[in-house]
Amino acid sequence: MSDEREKLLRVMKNLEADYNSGKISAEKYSYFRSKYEDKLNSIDAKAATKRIRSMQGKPSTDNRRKQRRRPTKNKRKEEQDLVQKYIINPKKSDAKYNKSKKSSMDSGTFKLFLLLILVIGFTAGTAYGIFNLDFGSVSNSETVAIVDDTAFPEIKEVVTVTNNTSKYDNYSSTNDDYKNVETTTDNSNSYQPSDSSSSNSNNQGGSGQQSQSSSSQSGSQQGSGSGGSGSNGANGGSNG
Amino acid sequence: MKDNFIKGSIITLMLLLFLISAVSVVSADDNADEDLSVLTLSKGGITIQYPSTWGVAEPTSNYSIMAISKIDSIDALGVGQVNINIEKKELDGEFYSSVNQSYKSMQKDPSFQLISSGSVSVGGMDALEYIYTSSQGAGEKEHKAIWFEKGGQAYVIMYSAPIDQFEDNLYVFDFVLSEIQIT
Repeated sequence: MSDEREKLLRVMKNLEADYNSGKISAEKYSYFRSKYEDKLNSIDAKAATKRIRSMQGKPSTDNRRKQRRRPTKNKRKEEQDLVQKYIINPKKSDAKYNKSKKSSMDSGTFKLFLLLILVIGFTAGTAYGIFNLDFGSVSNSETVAIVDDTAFPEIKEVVTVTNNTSKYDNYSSTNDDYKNVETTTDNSNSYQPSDSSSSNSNNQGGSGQQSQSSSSQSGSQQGSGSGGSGSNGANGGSNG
Repeated sequence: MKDNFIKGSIITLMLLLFLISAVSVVSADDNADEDLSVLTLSKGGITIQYPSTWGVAEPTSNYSIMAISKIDSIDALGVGQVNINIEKKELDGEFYSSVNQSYKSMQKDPSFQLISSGSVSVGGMDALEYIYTSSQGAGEKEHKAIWFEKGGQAYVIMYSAPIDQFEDNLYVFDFVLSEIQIT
């Protein structure tokens, strides 16, 4: 088939050369050229038919020719149909050639179907998300106010025992929460904390050592004989 | 036959999706009708939920993890009057005795008045509850403090409000306590 085509092309080339050199007339040239072109088209159509048949998995016409030397009319018609369908591109309205297309679901329809499902699913999912997810539930951390309440407030503790008073203003404690402790003590050391880590509620008196320490910190309480302000319960403040 | 089946499937699917979308929209509209929404705040391993009528506040306490204030209780100076403050502090002794001792000390200050104390449960943990009043600052306030221990730290969730507003807003504190997550 390919050799035939090559040969035909060569002949056409020679014809053109003859025409250009003036060996043949224009009439003859156009006559032969149209004839060779028809032949060439016929060869191309046969080659195309063969390719289509092989793609469809049908036996090639050559094999059939071997079996039946003469092609039947039906076969010719079939070939013509194939050429018409795949090469000449029939009109969409041609029911004869579109019949098989309509009857089965080809890959194009299936892709369209899948695409449709995806689009609908995406739209529905997005709508569901927008309307149902509570985007506003997460608080923004922008502060709107100041809070000065605390569970660890400064405590002004007043302990009244007896007689003479000594005042410890801005008593220095290791705990920052409990400052400005006022205590009232007497000279008889009746209020002496037992130790620096114990709470006030347990302390009924202060040690002399603490008293000195406290006095030295306050700078004005030497000889007061008490360290009653030594600690403050949970804050566990020491006098050091 | 096959074509009809495919067409039917597509139409059914579209109807189903349309129904789902319609139901979702109706549901969303119902939620939008509610004025009050619940916000979430998460800090320092603690997550709380609170109504949108409250806002995040800046606490002045060094021990504070987070604080929220009722928005309409904020005064002209920007200080919240109705607040919930969550604080934590390193324990320097046994938890129960430390907390008890704090309030014993507090009782010696005439500006604090202990009303009640008891045991409660918060997030499945045993906790201590203290209710007291304080007259520090501008006006007299009532406080409800819930103490619990975790990882060697004393945590306290404290609700504070002026005495006349304490009961009215207590339900928010109860809601916060019921929804709190401690990790």
